[in-house]
Amino acid sequence: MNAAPSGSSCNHRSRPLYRGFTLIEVLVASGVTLLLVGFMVAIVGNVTGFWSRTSGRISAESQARYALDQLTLDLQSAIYRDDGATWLAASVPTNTATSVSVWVTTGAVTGNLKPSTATGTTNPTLTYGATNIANGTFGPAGTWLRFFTTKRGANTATDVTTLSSPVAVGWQIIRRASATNTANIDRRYFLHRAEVTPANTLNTGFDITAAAYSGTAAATGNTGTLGTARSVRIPLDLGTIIAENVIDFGVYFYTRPTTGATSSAPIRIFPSGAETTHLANRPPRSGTAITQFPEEAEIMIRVLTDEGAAQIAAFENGRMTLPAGRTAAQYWWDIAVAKSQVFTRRVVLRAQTL
Amino acid sequence: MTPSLLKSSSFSAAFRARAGGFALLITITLLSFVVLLLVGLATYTRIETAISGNTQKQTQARQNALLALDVALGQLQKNAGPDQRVTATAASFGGVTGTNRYTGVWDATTSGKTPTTWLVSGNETNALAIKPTTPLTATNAVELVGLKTSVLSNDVRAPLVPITTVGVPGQSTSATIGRYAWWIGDQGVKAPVALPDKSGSVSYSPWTDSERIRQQISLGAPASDTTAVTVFDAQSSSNTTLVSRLPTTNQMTFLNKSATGTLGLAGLQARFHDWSSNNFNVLANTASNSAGLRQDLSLDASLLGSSAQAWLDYVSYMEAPADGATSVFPPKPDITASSMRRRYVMQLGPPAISPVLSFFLLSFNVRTLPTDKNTPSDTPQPVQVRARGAFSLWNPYSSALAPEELQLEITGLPATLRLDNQTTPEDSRSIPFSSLFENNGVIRIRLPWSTDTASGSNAADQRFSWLPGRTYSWTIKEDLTDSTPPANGFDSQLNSQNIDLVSGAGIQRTIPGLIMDGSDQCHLEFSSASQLKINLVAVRPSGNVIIASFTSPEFESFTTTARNLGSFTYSPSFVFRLAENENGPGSWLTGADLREPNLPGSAYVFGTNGSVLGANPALYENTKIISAPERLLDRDVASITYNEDVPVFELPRLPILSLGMLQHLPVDGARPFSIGNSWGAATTINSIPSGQLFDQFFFSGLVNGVNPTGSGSTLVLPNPLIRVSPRTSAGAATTVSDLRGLIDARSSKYLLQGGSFNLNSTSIAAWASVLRSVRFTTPATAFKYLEADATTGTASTSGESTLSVQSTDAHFFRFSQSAQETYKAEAGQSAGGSTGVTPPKTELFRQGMVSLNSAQVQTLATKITTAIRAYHSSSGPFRTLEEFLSPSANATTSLLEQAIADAGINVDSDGNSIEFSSQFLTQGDIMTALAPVLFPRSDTFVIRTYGEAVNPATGVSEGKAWCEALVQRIPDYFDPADDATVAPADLTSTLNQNLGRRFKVVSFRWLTRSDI
Repeated sequence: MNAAPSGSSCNHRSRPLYRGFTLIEVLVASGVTLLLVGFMVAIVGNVTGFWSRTSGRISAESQARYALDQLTLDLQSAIYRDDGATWLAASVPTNTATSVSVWVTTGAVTGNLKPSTATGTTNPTLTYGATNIANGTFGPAGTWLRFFTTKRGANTATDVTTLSSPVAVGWQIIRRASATNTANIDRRYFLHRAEVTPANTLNTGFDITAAAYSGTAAATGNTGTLGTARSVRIPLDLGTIIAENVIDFGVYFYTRPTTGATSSAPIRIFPSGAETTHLANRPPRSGTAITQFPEEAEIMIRVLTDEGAAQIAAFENGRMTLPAGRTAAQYWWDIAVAKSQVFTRRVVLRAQTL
Repeated sequence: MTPSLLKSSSFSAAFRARAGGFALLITITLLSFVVLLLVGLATYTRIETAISGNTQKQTQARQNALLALDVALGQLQKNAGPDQRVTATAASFGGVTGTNRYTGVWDATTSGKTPTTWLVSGNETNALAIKPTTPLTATNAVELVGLKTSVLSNDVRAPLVPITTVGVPGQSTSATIGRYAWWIGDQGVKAPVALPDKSGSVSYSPWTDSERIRQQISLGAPASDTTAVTVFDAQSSSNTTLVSRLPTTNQMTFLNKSATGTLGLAGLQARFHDWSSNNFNVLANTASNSAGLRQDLSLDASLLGSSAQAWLDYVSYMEAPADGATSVFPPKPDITASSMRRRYVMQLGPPAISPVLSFFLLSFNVRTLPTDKNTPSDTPQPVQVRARGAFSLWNPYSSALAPEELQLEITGLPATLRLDNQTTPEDSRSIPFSSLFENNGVIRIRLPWSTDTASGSNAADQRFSWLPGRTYSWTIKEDLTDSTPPANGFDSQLNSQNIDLVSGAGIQRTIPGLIMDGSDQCHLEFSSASQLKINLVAVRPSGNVIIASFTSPEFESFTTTARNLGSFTYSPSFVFRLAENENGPGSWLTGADLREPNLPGSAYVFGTNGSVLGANPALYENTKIISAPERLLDRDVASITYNEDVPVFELPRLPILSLGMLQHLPVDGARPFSIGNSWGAATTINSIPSGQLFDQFFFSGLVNGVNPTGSGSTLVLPNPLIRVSPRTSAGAATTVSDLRGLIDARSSKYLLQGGSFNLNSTSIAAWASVLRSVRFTTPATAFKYLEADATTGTASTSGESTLSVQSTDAHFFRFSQSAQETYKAEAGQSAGGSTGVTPPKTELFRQGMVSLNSAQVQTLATKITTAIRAYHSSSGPFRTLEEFLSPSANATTSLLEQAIADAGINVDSDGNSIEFSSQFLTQGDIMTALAPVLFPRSDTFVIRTYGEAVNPATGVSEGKAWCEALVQRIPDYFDPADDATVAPADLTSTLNQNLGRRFKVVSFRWLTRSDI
């Protein structure tokens, strides 16, 4: 083989290798690529958003369904005796005193937590008398609901804590760390269902306002284990958490009208006015409304989506800037309303008093 | 090509290839990422959808379970709401495992054993489609009570009822979308074993000691097993606090056992069908459609007629503690409100309260004036009639009587006798006889009472009151003054039976103008029968008052044995005594009521020891014996032992709390203890058959003057098991005034009887528990009684001291209000008598209660349940208490009485019947304790239901749920249009006519499979 043909041949074949893109080619290719990338980014963004919203909604629904199912069963099985004692109580605290030793505010910017009082007309914190409970808001700790119900236990003969038997339960929202580790900074709003063991309930007695169920001081030997009477008010144990990212929890109580009344619509007994506490120690249609044991209950919980929970956490921790023209309380509710769902149920309390 | 060129060419080609696939790669990567996201999201969504679907199915199942609950409640309301319904379980009606706990409902107005329905699913449209004998399988029935409830698999199974609908996609006809089942369990047939003892709250006047309530009525049963051994006692000190808080049966798990430890779940499960925490019954009458709610005899005793009303008004005749001090014979020590002794003032009545003439001897000697006191004359002398006598009066009550100066007024003796002189017949003549001793036509004997210790008498302590059950004797004192019979009677001496010593030569009365030779052979004749009438008179400053009358048996005409007229032989003698146990132990008190104000001669027998010599007064020569050891009502005056006291009847000293306590009510013409015992079935009280009293009335204890404090749930009535409705119809807390103000004494409108028990129960453990419900197990609830001293024959006169009894035995009180006064008694008595004669066991009479140990209770409970099952099989359940208490068909005894007999309760260790004493258990004794809580029906039920969601396409069950509700019938009618006090026959609302009184769901809970 000689060099010339080889070189000639080589030059001829290698030309395309060194032929550049025309400007038009480059422009078209770049345009198409950018278009494609943009399109993909948009798709991915949408899908991610959809995923986020959907999973958040599903997560919220799951949380709500579980919590509402439990509360429904609890309320349907609520126990009442007309013995002068308070068998059911609901409070809408204007502060977090219901769980003094558990409610955590550390790490948050002062004023950025769930507002403790109504601070504006747009999203007031305490509008619990709304006609539709879904439109109500129930204070920083929601509603502290406690009553006696019957535990649905495994009935293990060797473990009386599993006995299906009357127990005191306390439902409330507490903002706290999600772990017992004090270094944990992931603080959320949790809905608690604290259940006193059957034995402790029996030993403590059936007055839900008894000091053992409502005392704020630490009791001797009561260090926050599951099932103690004190957990009705101070559920130290994380095992009492039944749902997370629950930022509001409300209850309305109703009785049925007397026989022969002009209206068959249930009568709301709590709230019936401006009161924030309902202590049921009298039977329905007896005495003042706020002392009557209800025959029906309407319950609502507001659950943040995961995204909403992150945003609330970011806002409370100061990682989000307060928009102009909004107060911290208003903006907290702006986020909450936009990134949460409200779930409601109506429950018939089956038992009547003799 | 040079290697460099080749290398360059390959690089360029490769570069171009990479450059050409870049966008594609990115695109594919991004698309993959998107797809991955979508797949993940879809999977997540699918899982959530599945969870949601399951939740929905579970929700449907729960709704079906609630539907079943509503259906069951409706069936219960329809079948058991009216008053005239009774309930029983299927054990006696062909039930087998799985069905023998079915609850049947019977119409009380019909007879027979076919029920109205069985309260179980499947009978909604055809009341008897499902019976205890209906075969059930795993496919057509579901287990509602099983291992986790009663340690028995498939213990209760209920038929499944399909729930269908039309319009299901893919189904042209109706499709099954779910099924339900329900069963209604009868709580009333279980023993209520977790009742708090509220008797301590009855601290208002006149109660000063809650034990006095505890001994009167059941205050709640201890939890017994089938051997009648207490497993736990809710009222023991270790459980007092816990049991006051128990709202549900399951919590009994935590109660402390009588042994060690707590009952535990296994212990509770083992007795699921035998124990309940508490049962309540509406105080309604199952017997009559026109009756309705029971009437409260405490509020209106006149419902039983004037005699019973007077008897119940004990305040009017019981000596009030303060009044004793002003008595002629004041008690010693003083009787205070807290004393265990009570005294009653004697009166003709009603009620008649007096001692009973238990022995009468009046003996005569017609003779010539003796040469001296001990030497008959054999020369003509004035003819005299001399009389000697002795009398015994017995306090038949378990309480003391206030002693008084008494007097006997005797009439009916022959006014004249024929003195037949066989030696000198012409001297034969009619001579005056009783008229010699009469004042205003009556022979009067003064019966003084004294607390002095007289010669021949015993300690004075026993005479500060007329002690319960004690017999005192008087002997006529010698009176040779021959003076006109005194207006206040011939004198006698208390506590003397020694006629020779006290009567001596008797009361001497000379026949005016008659002188005869003492050696003449004479006899006395009286050609007619004679019957004595003896009035017992209380001598009072305000005037004498007859408090009782006794008629002797009819004496025959007689002719005395001929003898010298100067003879000291006393004949004729009119001697008789109360008939006792002539026909053997256990035969006493089967005739006339000894408390009758006019006790007939049939209550007496002639002679000192039965009718040995008959009715001829002439045959009783020189009779002077009172004491005979084989007699119950006699006692040697040298004996002061309380063991010889024979109290039989009780007088109320507190408000009556049980209809069974009416067994002590005297009923005109009726045998004692008629009320509550089968022999009184035909007896009527104010025209009401005695058995019906138990169905028609009750006692709340709210007599006049009894004013419990509190209202609503804090109002505790004297019968503390009665639950007062916390609210009136107006919603206010119920007060005593509300109860008193109800029409026709129907306080039952606001009451429920707690601790109630359906007498149709066939559970041995339940009956054993209920039978043991009167008990004194702890120091706090011990039975405290009056100490008595053998040396004085009574309690200390310096002050009452007490002893106490603790026992797990069952106690049935004959003297439910007064046993504390008479309880102390020991076997054996000190009365002397004939050699070889076994003294009667008088000590059996004093104790006032029968105590049954566990073995006896078990035997009795077994006999009762066996008899009930047999009765069910032949006649269905007992419809009324009257039916339960009356003699069974073709029998002379009732079921309870036969069970007592079969259990060998009233026999001694040799198998012989014991005396008819307070140790002799009767049906009346059982009813004293249990009448308030025994009902022929139940008003408390537990409903268990099951619901499932079924896939209409596959028929597969996709969700299951169980729930349980405790329901209670209340006095209110279903429709408020009728007041609770209206009788069923007068109801205006059709709803009420059909559905009766309302059932309420008083507790509800969801169950899991772990609860079944």
